[in-house]
Amino acid sequence: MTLAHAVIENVSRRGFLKGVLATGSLVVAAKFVPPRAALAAYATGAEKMPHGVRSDPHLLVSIAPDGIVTIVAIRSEMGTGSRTSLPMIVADELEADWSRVRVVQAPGDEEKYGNQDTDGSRSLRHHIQPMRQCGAAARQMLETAAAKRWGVDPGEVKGQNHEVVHKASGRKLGYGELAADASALPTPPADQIKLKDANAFRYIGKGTTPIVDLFDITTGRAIYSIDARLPGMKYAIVARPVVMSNRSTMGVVPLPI
Amino acid sequence: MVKFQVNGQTQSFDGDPSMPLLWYLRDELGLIGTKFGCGVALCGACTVHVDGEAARACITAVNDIAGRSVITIEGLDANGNHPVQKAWRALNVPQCGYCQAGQIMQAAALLASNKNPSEEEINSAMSGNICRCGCYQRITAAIKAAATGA
Repeated sequence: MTLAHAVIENVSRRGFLKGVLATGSLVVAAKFVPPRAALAAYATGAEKMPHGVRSDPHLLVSIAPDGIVTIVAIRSEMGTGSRTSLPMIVADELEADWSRVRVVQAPGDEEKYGNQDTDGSRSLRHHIQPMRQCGAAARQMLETAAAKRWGVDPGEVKGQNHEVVHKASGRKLGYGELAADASALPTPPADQIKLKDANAFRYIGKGTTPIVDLFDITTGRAIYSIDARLPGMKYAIVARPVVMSNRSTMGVVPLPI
Repeated sequence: MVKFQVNGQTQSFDGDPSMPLLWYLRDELGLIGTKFGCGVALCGACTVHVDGEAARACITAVNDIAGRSVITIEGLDANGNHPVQKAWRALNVPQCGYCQAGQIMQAAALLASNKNPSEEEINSAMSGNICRCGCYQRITAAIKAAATGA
C-alpha cells in the first residue's frame, strides 16, 4: 500500500527555526507581550481567552537573507480566510511586499502561540491589534537596525515596501540585508510601537489579497486533516446506532491496518 | 484483476473489487485531492470523471471502472490551468476549499457536455455538490466565466 505522507510536524521551536527559517533570519527567543498591554487600544475579548494572544515578531515573523518574509498563521483555516488575513495584517504593518511573504501554519501549541480556537467568527476581531503590533514592531526593529548601520537617528529612516529608506541620503537596505541585525534587537515595548495610519494600509480593507491556499485548493493540493498521515497513526470509526437514542451500540471501533 | 486508467496511466488492482474507487484513489494511489465527504453520494466532495462523466467515487466500486478512464482533480490539467480552475481563481470561489475539488470536477464535466449552460442548467448540474461555506453564487459565476472565457 502506498500512502501520501502529508506529515504534520509538531516540532520544537529549535526544530522549527532550523526547518523553516534560514540562519540569520529575524528570530530570537520568544518574549511574551502581555495581552493587556498589547490590546491597550480597545478591548476585544481576546485578553479573556485561555492562553491569551501573542504579538511578538520574534515568535511570528522571520526574514531570510534573500528577503523572503515568513509569517506564522496562528489560527486555522475554517473558510473565513483567517489563515490569510492574520498574516496579511502583519505584512501590512511590516510594509512587506505580499508577493515575498510566505505563510506557515503554527502547530497546535497554545502555551507558545496563545489561544488557537478558530471559532466564534472572532479570529480577526481578537487579532487585528496584536497582528498590527507584531508587524509594526518588526518594522521598527528593521528601521533601528538600518539606522544603526548608517549611524543616523532611527526617526530619519522608514520601512516601506520591503526595504528601509533613509530619505535624506537616498540610502536603502532591503529587509533581507537587515534581518540578522534586526533579529538581535529586543521587541519594542507595546507603548513604543507606532501603528500606521489607516490611510497607509497596503492590504487591510482593500479586498485585493486572495487566500494563500487558492491555487492549492483548485488543484487538489491543499492538505486537510483527513489527508494527514502520522507515524504509527491508528484509525477508528464512530459506530453509530441504527436507531435514534440507542446508546447500547454506540462506540468507537478501531480499524486494523 | 481489474485494469483501468487513472489520469492517463494504466493501473491494475487485484484486491477486493467492491472497494470504493475513492478509497483506491486516496489510499492506494495517494491521490488525496479527491475528498471524502459523506460516503453515500449525497455531497459531491468525491466527484471524479469516469470516461468524461462526473461520478461519485465513494459509491463507485473499483470493479465498475474496469476498462474505463478516471480523471481526478490532480489530472484535470497538468498545470492546474483548466478553464474552470482559472475561473475559480479569478473569482476567488473557494473559502475552506474542502468541497472544491468535487465542485470543479462537476463543473468541468458539465462544460465538456454543454459549452454554454444556462443558469438553470448550471444549478441542475451542480445541485448534488454541497458547500458548507456557501460559495454557490461564486461557483455559478465562475462556471459562466469559464464557459464564455471571460
